[in-house]
Amino acid sequence: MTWLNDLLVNWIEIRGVGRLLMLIPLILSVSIVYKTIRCVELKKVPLASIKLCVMILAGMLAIGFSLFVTFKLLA
Amino acid sequence: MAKPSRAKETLPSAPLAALFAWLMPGLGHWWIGEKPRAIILFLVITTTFWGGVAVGGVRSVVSERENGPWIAAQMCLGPQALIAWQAGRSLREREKADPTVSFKAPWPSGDIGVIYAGVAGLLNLLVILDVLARVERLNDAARPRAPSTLRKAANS
Repeated sequence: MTWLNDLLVNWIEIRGVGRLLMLIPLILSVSIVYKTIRCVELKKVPLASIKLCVMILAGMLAIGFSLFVTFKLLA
Repeated sequence: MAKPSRAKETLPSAPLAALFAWLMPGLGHWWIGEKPRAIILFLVITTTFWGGVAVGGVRSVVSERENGPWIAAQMCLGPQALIAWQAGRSLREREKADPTVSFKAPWPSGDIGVIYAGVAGLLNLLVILDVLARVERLNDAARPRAPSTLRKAANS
């Protein structure tokens, strides 16, 4: 159980693009939980979750990009 | 849709279902008979929480002094969050006893871990609200309707 102890006590170093990539598992888990609650038929959950995940990711990237452009224009 | 098996026997109690959902993600859904849904919710929420703890380390992720209101969100996960909080507390006490030792995660690992664990707690809050709504629906379906209500429904 030393590996489990190491995993929970020590942190994982995240740098550069890894920070942005950490967004994907979080959005995926939010999408799966939301769609598991909303979908009447559970077999529709995987596809619906992926669709929602892509939508959230695209939306957040669009907001981020537009804020970046606005900042550059105002600077 | 999976048929809630419990509704046929006895009507589930809403506070008990919410308590079960807080004790373990998905346990409330399991209790009202939504077993496949319960398994998915348990796996996803638990993985998100402990994934966050693994990224940021248990000392930095579940800390009432350093993370402000995030601790309230994390506590929505129930005993798992309490276990992580207790483990983090023991590490903080070890740091106090020996100042040369530090378990504090640097930025951004600590912040990412806090957000993961907090979002997992908020997702469990959503699950608790969902189980309450499902219990309400089961109870409404089982409740005999008054004749006047039936007449109104027939006329509309």
